Amino acid sequence: MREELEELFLTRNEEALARVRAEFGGLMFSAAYGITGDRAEAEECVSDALLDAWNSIPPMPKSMPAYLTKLVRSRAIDRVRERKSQRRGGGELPLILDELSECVPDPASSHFEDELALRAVIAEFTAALPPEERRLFLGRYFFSRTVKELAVEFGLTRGAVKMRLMRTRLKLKQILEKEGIEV
Amino acid sequence: MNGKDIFKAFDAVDEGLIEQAIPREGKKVRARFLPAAAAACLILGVGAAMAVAWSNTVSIPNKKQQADLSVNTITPRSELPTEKPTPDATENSALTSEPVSTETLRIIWGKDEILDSHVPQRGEILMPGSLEEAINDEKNSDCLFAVCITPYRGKEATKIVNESWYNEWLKLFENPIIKRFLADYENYITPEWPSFTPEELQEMYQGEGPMDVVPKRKFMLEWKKELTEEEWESFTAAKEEIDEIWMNNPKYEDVADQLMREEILRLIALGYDLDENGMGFLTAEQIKTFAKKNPDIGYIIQWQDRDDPMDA
Repeated sequence: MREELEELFLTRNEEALARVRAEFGGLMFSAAYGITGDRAEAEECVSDALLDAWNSIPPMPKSMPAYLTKLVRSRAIDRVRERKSQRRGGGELPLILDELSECVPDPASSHFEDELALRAVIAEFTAALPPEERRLFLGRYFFSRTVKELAVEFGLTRGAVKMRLMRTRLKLKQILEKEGIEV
Repeated sequence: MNGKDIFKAFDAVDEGLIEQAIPREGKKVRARFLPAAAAACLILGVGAAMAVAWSNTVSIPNKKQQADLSVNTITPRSELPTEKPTPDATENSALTSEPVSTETLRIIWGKDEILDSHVPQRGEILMPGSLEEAINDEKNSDCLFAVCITPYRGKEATKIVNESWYNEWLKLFENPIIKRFLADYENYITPEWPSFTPEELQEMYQGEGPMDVVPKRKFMLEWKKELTEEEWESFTAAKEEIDEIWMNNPKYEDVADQLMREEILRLIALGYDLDENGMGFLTAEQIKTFAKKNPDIGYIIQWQDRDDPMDA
């Protein structure tokens, strides 16, 4: 599959996009819908992200589904930002951002170097988590899934999902404080 | 900076790890503590029938009984209502309570409340104000509280790994082509962000690890044009080595998870009516005297989410 896709992208064959949509369209839509909360917008984000993929591949990403999710996530965030002034709702994003704000030691500060360090910390912190906790954490904060969906997937109560996420957020907050990142 | 910045920073997570976290088809939901409660209930029911002494009234243990609460506190679980309270009941009042046995015992449920949390230090107990009020209310002295407990061991909860590789890694930055890159990059970005000191820039390179942020990527496209082919190859090889060592040497170790599980098991062994996630039913007295159980550990005690596991 990967080799075929690579060949299609290399030869600029548009079949590549059809294949990618068929294989990963559902995953992309789910991630976009979790952020936008709007089916039509989520579809548009998927289309935009596929175009982004067309323009940026090759080189082939390390993981196609992960890369596509990053692209569609970025598009969905842009959409929400665009319509922020119109005060329309936005899927799980407001809840997710509220939860992540708990990790912020000093919301008033903002430094470019902190943004860079933050990326490194998030990457390292996530890699260090136990596998199940990591899947739960990424499920919520990367794939923007609802607590209910995660509860079903992990065979937990919603309360247990919320508790586990809260515990992970507290650990992240500790790391950010230890690293002196004024997020 | 805010939660949105953290949300966006998840893009830096390794794609392999993201792939592992791709949603799977939902497993059948299982309630983790209810089977145990049902089993305990069955045992108790048999015992009660044999002794012909069981009544629906469950006495609340006093302080002297706290070391052995399993019988008295497990029993009410068998009688937990299986239906959620109506939305009105939960939204219009801070607390909901329901009679569990026919006479004295009730379980108090609080509203789902996110604690504005800092990490508790050793011996410190954090809980929502509504829970604190409820356990100190005389009217609730004969009730059980549906709570979730999260233990922390202060600063040990997360750990930055001893970075024995780190000094060796720093030496790679002495490579002339890397030094040239860093110097040129500093010149490139300093006019744009003049507030950076050399120390801050150095810190930034270290913190960033892989050289993949947007300004650097943009700069590299331009910088490449200034190099010979050999110089570029030398640079990419050195950069790959730096990135590889960074990526293959974790900085953090999650010790909190194991510590938390051990402590919850210890609490269960002491007779606290908790499941392995730290969710369960405690008396007001148990919550009030909680710190005495282990002053080396800090705890967060929160209301337990009321959602029934079977409707998730």
